[in-house]
Amino acid sequence: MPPRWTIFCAMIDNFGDIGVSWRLARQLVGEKGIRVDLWVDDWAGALQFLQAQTPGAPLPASAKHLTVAGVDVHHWPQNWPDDDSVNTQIAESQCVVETFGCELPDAVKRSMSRRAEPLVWINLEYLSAEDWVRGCHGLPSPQNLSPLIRKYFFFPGFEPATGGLLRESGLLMQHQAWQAHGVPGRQQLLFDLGLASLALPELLVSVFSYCSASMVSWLEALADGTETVLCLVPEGKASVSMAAYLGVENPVVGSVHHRGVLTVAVIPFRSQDDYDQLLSLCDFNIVRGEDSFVRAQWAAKPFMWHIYPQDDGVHVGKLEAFAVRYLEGLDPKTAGAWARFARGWNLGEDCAEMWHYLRPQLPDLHQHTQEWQKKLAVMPDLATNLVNFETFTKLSVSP
Amino acid sequence: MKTAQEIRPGQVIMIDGSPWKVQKNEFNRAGRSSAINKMKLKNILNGMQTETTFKCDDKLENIVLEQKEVTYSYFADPMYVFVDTEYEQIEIEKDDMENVLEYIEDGMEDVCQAVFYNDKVISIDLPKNIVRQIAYTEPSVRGDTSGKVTKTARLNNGHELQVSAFCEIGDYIEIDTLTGEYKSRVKR
Repeated sequence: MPPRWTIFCAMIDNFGDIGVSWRLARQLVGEKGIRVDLWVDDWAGALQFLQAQTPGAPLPASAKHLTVAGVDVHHWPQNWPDDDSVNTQIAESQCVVETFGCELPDAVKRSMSRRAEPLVWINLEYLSAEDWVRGCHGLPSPQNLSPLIRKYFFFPGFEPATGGLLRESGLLMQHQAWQAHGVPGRQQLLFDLGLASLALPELLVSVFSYCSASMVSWLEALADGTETVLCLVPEGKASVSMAAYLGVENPVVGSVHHRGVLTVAVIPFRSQDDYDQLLSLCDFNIVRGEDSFVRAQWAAKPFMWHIYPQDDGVHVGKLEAFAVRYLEGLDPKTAGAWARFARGWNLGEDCAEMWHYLRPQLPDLHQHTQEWQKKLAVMPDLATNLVNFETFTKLSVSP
Repeated sequence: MKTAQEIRPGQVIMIDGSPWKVQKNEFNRAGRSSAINKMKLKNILNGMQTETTFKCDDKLENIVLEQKEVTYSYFADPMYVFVDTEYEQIEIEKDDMENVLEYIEDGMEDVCQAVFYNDKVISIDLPKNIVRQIAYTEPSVRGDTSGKVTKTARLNNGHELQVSAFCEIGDYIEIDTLTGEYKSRVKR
């Protein structure tokens, strides 16, 4: 019998939570031989996300349990049933993972407390480059359930003393293969996106950001520039953020808009694998949150991070903590241009002039990001670290 | 029950049936408005120390302990010695003073609370506000009396903190011992 893990995912907004949970679940099944049950609270959102992962294979909308890519995906109902068989099954997992601090149902905790075998309970936390993460990664979080139930905080991160980053085996070779195709690869991408009629631009950009007050100033700078630019914009917050500039109420998938030398094409929400390819083939990627942010770093193309905005400005400190690590070793001119653009974008400032400083630095930034990718790739990936952590801690808890 | 963010150093929480004294409680902001408390704990029964993390709204069982009024007397390495109102000496280890050590100085007259568990003193709580004298600080900035501009000042015991720019050597200042922050300049 393969070991069994259970992952709980609360979808707060967007697809960031399930993006990370799904990627982890899929890797645990595919590479670690673990049977995974993934419980998701927003079932409609989960179905929409999963459908994007399996284009061409319609998922039954009425089902409350699906098996996709070997992962058993379940609906996590608001009123959790006091069904002993379900709770016992979860409690019999070797490891229970709550992603991003979501709260497990009380009935599940009660079942866990009755276990006679050690159980590792992980809170998989948010990614941050801040120094305090090193000091909190892997620490226990006693819950007074049972001496056999050990809860730990597990932090993704950019350093060896953290949980690392999600990275499937073969991912970097896949990026090399995509990038080796050069112009034909990009032409094929446009063809696949239904944009075969568009000429390849001098600068190919993907924009997967939150709504941003900086968007219009940046688009104006692109439109008024001297090189042709094609922005590929997955439908959602980024495309909505462009609506006023494009002069439409709601830019629809498949629509193409021309302004000066700039072309904006709204593309459908893609599967994670197809999005990796998009990142790999673009010259500059605007990414957001956690999952696309990490994927852009594996693609090793110049990128800008739109961090999840928080009312009290905490996100700015997190951006700067990342910048300190990411920009290390880069010449001050290029590092300064990236830092100013990223900060300006995240603060909603006019980014036109900042872009003019950043644009000439993209070749240097590309080289630097390739080095950064190699540096990150030396560390074990997050799924491997998690499996090793579970094994090690369970050994230490064994009665 | 208290949430992890409400727990203060010196308080005691129960974990798996054992009392643990909180020596330090740091607060960090994770993503999307969630927060994490990292605690340094000491087992009152066996002295074992550990570090833990909690979500800031995790509920923890804190226990209320016997307290006694004491004043600081002297330091006899590694023990700090206090006396109670009946002039009985109470000794406490340096490790258990972590949350108040920076405000301990010879001759201090603050009435503190000694906290006991099973007749053993486990921590000292200072009053919320205390007054200390500035031993050294850079000269005042002329003209700025707003209190918004700050500078570093050193107390008689060597502890440093930020004070208003108009404070000078020899001034007495009020300090909030919960936050560690300067509150105001006071006259003596």
